[in-house]
Amino acid sequence: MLAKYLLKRLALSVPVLFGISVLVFLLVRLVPGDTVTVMLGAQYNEEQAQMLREKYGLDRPVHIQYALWVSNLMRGDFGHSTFTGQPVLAAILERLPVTLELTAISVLFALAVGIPLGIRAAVRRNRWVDYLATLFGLSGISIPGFWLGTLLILLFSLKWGWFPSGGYVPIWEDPLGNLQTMAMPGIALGTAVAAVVMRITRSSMLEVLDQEYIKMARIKGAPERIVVRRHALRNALIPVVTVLGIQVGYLLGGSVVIEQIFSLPGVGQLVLQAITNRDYALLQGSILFIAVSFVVINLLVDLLYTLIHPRIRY
Amino acid sequence: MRKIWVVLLVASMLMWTGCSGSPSREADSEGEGGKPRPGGTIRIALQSDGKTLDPHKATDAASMHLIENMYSRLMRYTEKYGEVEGELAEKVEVSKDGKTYTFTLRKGVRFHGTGRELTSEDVKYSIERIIDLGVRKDHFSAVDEIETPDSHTVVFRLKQPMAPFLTYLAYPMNAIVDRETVENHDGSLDRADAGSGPFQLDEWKKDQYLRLKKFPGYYLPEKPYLDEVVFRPIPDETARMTALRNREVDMILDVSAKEARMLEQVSSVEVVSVPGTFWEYIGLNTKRPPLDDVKVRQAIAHAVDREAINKIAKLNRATVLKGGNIPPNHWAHADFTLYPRRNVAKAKQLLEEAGKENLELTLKVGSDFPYQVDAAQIVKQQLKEVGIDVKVSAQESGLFFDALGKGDFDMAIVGWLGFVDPDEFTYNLFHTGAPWNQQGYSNEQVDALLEKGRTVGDQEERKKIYHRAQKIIAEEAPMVFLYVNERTAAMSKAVKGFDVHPTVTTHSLEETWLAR
Repeated sequence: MLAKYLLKRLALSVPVLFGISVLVFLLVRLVPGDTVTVMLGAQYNEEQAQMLREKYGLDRPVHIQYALWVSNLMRGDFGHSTFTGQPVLAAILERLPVTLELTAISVLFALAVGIPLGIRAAVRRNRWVDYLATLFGLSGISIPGFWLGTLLILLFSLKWGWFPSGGYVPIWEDPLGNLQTMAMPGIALGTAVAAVVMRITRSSMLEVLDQEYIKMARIKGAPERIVVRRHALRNALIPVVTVLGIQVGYLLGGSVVIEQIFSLPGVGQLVLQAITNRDYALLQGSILFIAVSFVVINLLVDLLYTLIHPRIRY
Repeated sequence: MRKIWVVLLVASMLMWTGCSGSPSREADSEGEGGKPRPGGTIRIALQSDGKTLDPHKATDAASMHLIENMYSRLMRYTEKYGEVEGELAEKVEVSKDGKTYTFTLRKGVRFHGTGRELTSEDVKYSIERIIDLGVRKDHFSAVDEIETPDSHTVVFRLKQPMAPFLTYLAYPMNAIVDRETVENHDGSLDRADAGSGPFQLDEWKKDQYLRLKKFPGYYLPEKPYLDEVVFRPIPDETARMTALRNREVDMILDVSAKEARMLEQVSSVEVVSVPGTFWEYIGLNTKRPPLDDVKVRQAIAHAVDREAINKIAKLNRATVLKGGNIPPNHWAHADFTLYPRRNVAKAKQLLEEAGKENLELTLKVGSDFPYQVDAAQIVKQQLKEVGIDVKVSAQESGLFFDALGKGDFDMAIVGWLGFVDPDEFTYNLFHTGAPWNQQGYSNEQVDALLEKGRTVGDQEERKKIYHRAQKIIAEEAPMVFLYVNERTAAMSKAVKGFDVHPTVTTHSLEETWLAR
């Protein structure tokens, strides 16, 4: 059954990805200005630009360019960046560990803070813990990441000197140094996710705690700890997992702002540069890559439901 | 031009006697704290990472910083802004008609990758590659033929005399590359080093760091002093300043007026400013009504309060341009004042004479340049008082330059950086139909002057020509010149011998050492 479901989902993702590839390709080209405009900057002049466009094949009709791109993709060739000459896939894979780690740290932070806080808030509804949690939820969502990031730098780096102001050290080269450079961006990015997780956990818990079977468990004399953890939490986690799946998808697209502030060489920075440079091959490749990650994560989340909730079957 | 020959001669004589570099810089570094100490690593923060390592393709300042010290050129800038001296060229002879340049190359210059000696063939190949790649083809548009009579002589035959020719050859990105290395990399130098400069490429981790190491085979003995140069892109302003204050980096190469003011308060940091080359203006599209009317343009030029914009957008650190556009520290600066201060009455009178009222204009500006967006908002306020309603449109760089290139704007705030010869400040911007004449400006008298300016060799005569040209241009106001910025670097006090140059060049890294 599961295999059939998986096949169906995978088959469905083919038209989705095709649609995305067309959209990406066209949208990128609809924006005024191209690689050559950026390359020449203020020194732009039509004659020189035309010469460079011919050089990069940008003078060809769009459908031909698209066909070329897709046929190369089929052979696993994502093309080369116009500016650095680096293969697009290599550029993405080089940055993926940074983004994956940043995502993992912020999700872990979000879970470690969001779920316990959400549970406490639900269990002690309308008490001071609840008010505090609600305040955290509200401010966590409304404080912009760049402001929090800058604040963390000023406090932990400039004032106390605990962490370096930015930069990246690979984990296999220097695990401690890596943690030092990733802690602040992880917290800056994870705070908003933690706030979302907290709010969803709280409302979902409140809903579940009000149901008949929980009352039944209480009547049967189960200790409150067991009621909350075993009976309520498991059912309350489904919406949390859904929301988290979507959040992880966004995080994998790279948090452009956080990566920029902490000079982290992640996917977000790559996409941002590709956009500002109008580096078409790089931009198309990385957006397609992010889209595929989204599709895969959604699939994983759907599969995860069966683990949390045995009644869900495909 | 005469002066250039003198500099050249002195420099080449010094090289012959085995003395290296320019004497003044040497004295400088000693004067700053004793004898240069070899060794060490300097870490330099940049605003963004480079786009490419190919000197013949790079146009952005960040790429240039990464590339420059890997390569040598035929000529190079001296410390005195506007003048050049020989780098690979030991001797330069120019024919009487100014159409033939014969360069004698320095011997014993070796390339990093192949260890091969640099010859005249490499020079010919490099210049042809620049023309072929197209980005700076324009610098060599006058070149008719390049001959290589022997391995250390290169002869350039020009179609017509070209006064800024040597200055173009000194442009840091007009580097001499190793043909073999280029061919080994399938023609692309995007991530490779084909140079013969003081430092060679060690590792480039895009968006993390670029590390250069000392080239042991460099042709100047004992240079460079540093073992390594590490460039780190730190895009965020707070993070960048924190990194310098925490000694995670030793230098920020280019700091804004705001950063400079904050870093001046830090005791471990030295902020060094020199008059720069980055000048900014409001371009007025002379092809579009009502800006095709010279009186309307003059009205705008009178209505704009340059001092006020300088005060707010540049914290008073820029030098206001009240006359021409060539900065005051340049030999071709024209000493006249056309717009001494804001004159609202005159502006209103000019608009009345032109019979134009209730004008509505759009002012385009690149959103990647926040100080230009600030300036645009102030201009909007100032023009409102003379009855011109300005709509500010801040656009992302790609969009902005696209509109600019196509002449799709009424007014636009733009800046240029790194010009050295007066021809660069004028010809391509103001000559009829010139490539960067986005304002569509055309004046026969100016055209004639600018054409003459590039062919005349004598500096005094050129000075007069550019004085007249600038005066006409400023009067007809296809651009409202705003100001020229300081070039400011912030560095740790341990950094010695680094010369903050008006252009973007960091060539003095070969003279830089660390006192720690």
